[in-house]
Amino acid sequence: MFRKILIANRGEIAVRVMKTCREMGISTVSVYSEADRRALHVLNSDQSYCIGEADPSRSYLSIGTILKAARDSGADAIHPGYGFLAENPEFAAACEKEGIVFIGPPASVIGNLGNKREARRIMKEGGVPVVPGSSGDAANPESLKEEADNLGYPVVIKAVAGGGGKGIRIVESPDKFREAFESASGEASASFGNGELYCEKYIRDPRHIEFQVLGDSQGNIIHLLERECSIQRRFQKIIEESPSPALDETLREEMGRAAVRAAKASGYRNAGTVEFILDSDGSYYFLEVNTRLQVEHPVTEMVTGIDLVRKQIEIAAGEELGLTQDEIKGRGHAIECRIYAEDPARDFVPSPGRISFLREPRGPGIRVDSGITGGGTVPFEYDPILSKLITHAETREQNISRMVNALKEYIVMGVKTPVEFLLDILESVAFRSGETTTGFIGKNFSDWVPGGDEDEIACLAYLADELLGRIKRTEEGPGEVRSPWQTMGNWRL
Amino acid sequence: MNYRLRVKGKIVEAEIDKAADESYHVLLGGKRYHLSCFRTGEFLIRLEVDGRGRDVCVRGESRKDIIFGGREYSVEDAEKPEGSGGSSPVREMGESITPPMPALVVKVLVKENDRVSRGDPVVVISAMKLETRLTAPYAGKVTSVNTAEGEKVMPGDILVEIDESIEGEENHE
Repeated sequence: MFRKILIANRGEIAVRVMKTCREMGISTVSVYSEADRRALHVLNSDQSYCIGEADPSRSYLSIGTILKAARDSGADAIHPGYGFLAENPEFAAACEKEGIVFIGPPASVIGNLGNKREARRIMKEGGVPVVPGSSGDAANPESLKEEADNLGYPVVIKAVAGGGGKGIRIVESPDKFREAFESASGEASASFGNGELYCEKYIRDPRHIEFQVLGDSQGNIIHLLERECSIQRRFQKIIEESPSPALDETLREEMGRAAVRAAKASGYRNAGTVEFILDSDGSYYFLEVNTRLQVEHPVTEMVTGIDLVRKQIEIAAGEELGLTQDEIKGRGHAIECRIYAEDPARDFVPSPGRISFLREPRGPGIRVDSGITGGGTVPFEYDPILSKLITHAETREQNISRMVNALKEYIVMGVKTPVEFLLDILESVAFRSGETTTGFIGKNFSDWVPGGDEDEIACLAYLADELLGRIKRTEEGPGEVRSPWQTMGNWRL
Repeated sequence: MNYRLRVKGKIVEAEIDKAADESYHVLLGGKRYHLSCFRTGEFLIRLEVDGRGRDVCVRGESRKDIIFGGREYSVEDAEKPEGSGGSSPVREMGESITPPMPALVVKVLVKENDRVSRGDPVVVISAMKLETRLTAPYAGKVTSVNTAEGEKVMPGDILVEIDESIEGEENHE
C-alpha cells in the first residue's frame, strides 16, 4: 500500500480525497497556487508545495512542477481529482515514466477514450449501442454533410477532441449545415487545438444517465449502479440523483451490462463513468466515458455504502476488486446539489470574494463535501464550486424533503450561491414527479427570479440586529461567561 | 424608536416600543407585530414573531444582508443614500461594470450616449467556459466605453462608465 499520496488538485475534491487517505493511514501532500495559500486543502495536508501563480496553466496544469513536488516529497502515488490534469494522457504517462503511480486508468486508455470518435469506434466494436453518427472524414465539410443527410435531421455537430460543451452545434436542416460546421470547427480549434468534427443524430430532450464502473488490474470490472444527471444548465450538471426515476430493474440491468461491456471494450482500469443518453422511447445510447472520479461520485457512495476513493487507491496499489456484481445493491435514494459561488439573480455570474460567514447543514443522511471555510476567499481563477450538498433517505419523496430542509439551513454570506434556485427546483412539481430531462431548466425555469416574499420578516430581522447590537453595548447578554479579569475586583500584590 | 427602511426599492416605516419580558411591539408598514429576539451565534439571531420562531442570519451596518429559509434579502436604512454602507466587498464590485474574473469580451452592447436602465445588459464576456452578461447597476447615460470585442479584460478594469441619471431610480422595480 502507498505510504504517501500527492493530490494534484484543489478545493473540495482535494479535501475529500485526503480524508480517505488519512483514514487509510496514508500521508498526504497537497499542491497550491499563490491564490490558495490558506486554502482548506492545504491546511488539511501533511505536506504542501507551492507550485506557481494563480493562473492554472502556471500551477495546477503544470506537469513538470507537480512531478517535482511529488519527487521532493517522496510521494509514491498521485491522485489527480477531477478537471485539471485528471484526463490528460501526457500527465498519466509522465507519472508512469517517473515510477509514480497515477491513480486512474492507464495513459493509453485515457488517450483513446478522450478522442470522442475513437471512443465511439471502440464501443461500436464492443457491441455497445452508440448514437447513430458519422464515421468518415472529420475535416471535410462535404462528406460530413453527406453523412448528416443520411442520418436524418436534426443532427448535432461535435468536436472530436471536445468536452465542456464547446464545439457543439445543433443543425435543424441541411441548409444550416455549412455555417454550423465552420462555427463549430473554429470554436473547437480555439478550445482544443483541434478543429476536427463528427456528427450524431440529435436526440431531443433526453435523460442523461451515467453508470459508475470499477475495474481492477486483474480484469474484473463491475458497475455500481447509475446516476441521473439530467438537471443541467448550459451543459453543466447542477443536481444529480440515484436511483433514476426513469429506470426499472430490467432497464437498469441492461444498461449496467452495457456499461461494463463499454469498460471492457476499452481495457478500463480503476474508477470511471460510462455516460448514456436515454430517449423517451426507452432506447439508450453511449455518449462518452469519463476516465476520472466525477464530481457527483458521492451520490453513488451514499446508495452503495462504498468509498470510491478507497477503491481507487486499492486498485492502483494492485489489489483485487474484492466485489462481485451480485453484491452491488442500492439502498434508499441520494441527491446531490452543487453549491457554486454564482449569483442566480444575475444570470449565474461567478461571484468570487471573501466568505464572511458559513454554516453548513448537518443531521441524519446529510453530507457536505466542502472546500471552503468561513473567512476564506473564493478566488476567481478557478471553477467556482464551493461544495456539494448530498442527502440520503429511504425514498425519493423523503429525500427531497431532506434536501429542501438542508438547503434552507445552508448559510453562506459574502459570496452569492444558487441555494434559492435549487430550492425552487426541488420544490417544483416537475422535479417531484421525476420529469427530469436535459431540457428541464429551459422548460421550467428559464424566467426564474429569486422569489423571497417575506420582506416584513427581513425588516424585523434588521430591527432585531439593531436592538441586540444596542443591548450588547449596555449590558451582558445571557450566557456570556464573565472572565476572571472582570470578577476579580480590587486586589494588590 | 423609529426607523425608515428600504427593501426591494420600497420604503417601510417602523416604530418600536419596548414591551414586557425583553420583547417589543413593532409597527411595521402599518401592521403590528410582537417581537422577541436573542443572539444564538455570530451573525445568528433567533427571532420570535407573534409566537412563531425563526432562525435568521444578519450581517451589516446601515445595509444588512439577511438570510433565512434559504432566501436572501437586503434591507437598508433609508436615511442613508442608496447603495452606501454595504457590508460585502463583492457588492461594491457589482456597482461597477467590471468582470469578476479574467475574461474575454465577446460583445459590447452599448455605445457612448446610450441611455440604459438598471439591469440592462451592457457587455457580454466569456470566462471559465461560460458566457455572461454584465448589466448596468443603475440607470443613466453611457459616458464611456473602454473596451472592444476580442479584448482580454481583468477584474478592476472598468469596461463601461455610466453617469447616474439625474431623475434617480428611487422606486425602480
